[in-house]
Amino acid sequence: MHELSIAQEIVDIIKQSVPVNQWNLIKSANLQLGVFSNILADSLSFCFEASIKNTELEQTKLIIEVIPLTIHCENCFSDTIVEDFIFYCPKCFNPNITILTGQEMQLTAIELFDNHS
Amino acid sequence: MYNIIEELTGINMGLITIERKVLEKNDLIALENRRLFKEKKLFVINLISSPGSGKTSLIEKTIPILKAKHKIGVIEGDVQTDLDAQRIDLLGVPVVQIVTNGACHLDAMLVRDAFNRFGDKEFDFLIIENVGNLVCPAGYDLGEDMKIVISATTEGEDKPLKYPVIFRNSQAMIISKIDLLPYLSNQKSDFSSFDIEKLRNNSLSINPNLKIFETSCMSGDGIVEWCDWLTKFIR
Repeated sequence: MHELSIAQEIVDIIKQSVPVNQWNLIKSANLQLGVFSNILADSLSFCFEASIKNTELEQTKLIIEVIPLTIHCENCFSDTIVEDFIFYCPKCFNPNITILTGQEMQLTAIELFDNHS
Repeated sequence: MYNIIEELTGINMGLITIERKVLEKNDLIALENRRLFKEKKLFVINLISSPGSGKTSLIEKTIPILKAKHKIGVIEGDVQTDLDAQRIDLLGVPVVQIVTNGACHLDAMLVRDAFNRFGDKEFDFLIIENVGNLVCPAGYDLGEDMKIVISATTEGEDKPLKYPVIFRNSQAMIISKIDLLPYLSNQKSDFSSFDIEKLRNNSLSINPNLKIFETSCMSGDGIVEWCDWLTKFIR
């Protein structure tokens, strides 16, 4: 699996978003990770920690918000959070559904330590 | 100074709001690939399966049938060796081998660089054979028109349920090695046998729009139907 290359992409994006003289002041980065993204949160955390060790980002925490799989039924228009990956509406059993959430893999915020100025 | 601004306004100056997709770099290159393929009027498929399900064999059976009317190019992806490219080379179509040296999937940049190695050659149909893996290739856009997943009869009925992302993201599925069906049901044994209908149902429960083909590269069964379907998309 490739959580390590994903972690390295995350580090790159963090560095692009913050001036280089503040890289050592990054407290945390928030990541939305969908359950249907094929990436495991625990493995990703581990790989992130390995990627930042002995770098300016050594103190940075990756805060992962796991996003559930929500499906929208095109027949009865209901939205349901599904635990198992069954792609039909649990209310009307119609298979014509679209995925609303659960495929995310995006950084949403970066927080600096209080003494960043 | 930030602390003063924060005190006066209550705004956290140390919080930077961004919205950056982690795979944006890949997605941008995939978009460029897609534009280039469209410009060249090229139909592109991304063939994905576990190792040994029959991706290369399927390509070997597809090329002789389609080669008469179409110009085909193949990009092969493997962790090591160019064994698959050597097999395709024997069929007389241009082929480029990507050796990932450890990466478990192809990405858009690898495909872009491989495509550039074709030079001036013109195609109307490009087959990308991904690294044997049902997990990671599912999440990487290469710029293809469609992902095609192969699941062999020997892999049982539960792969769509265990690997839902690739089955959800594919337009078609090939059930390969159907010549083995008589050997996969053993009435003398209590041990469960392979039920092809169960595999079909499991696949459709993940993706009701999945087009399903049943093929055998040994006997040739189903290959013509698969090729007929493909030609609808090639200009």
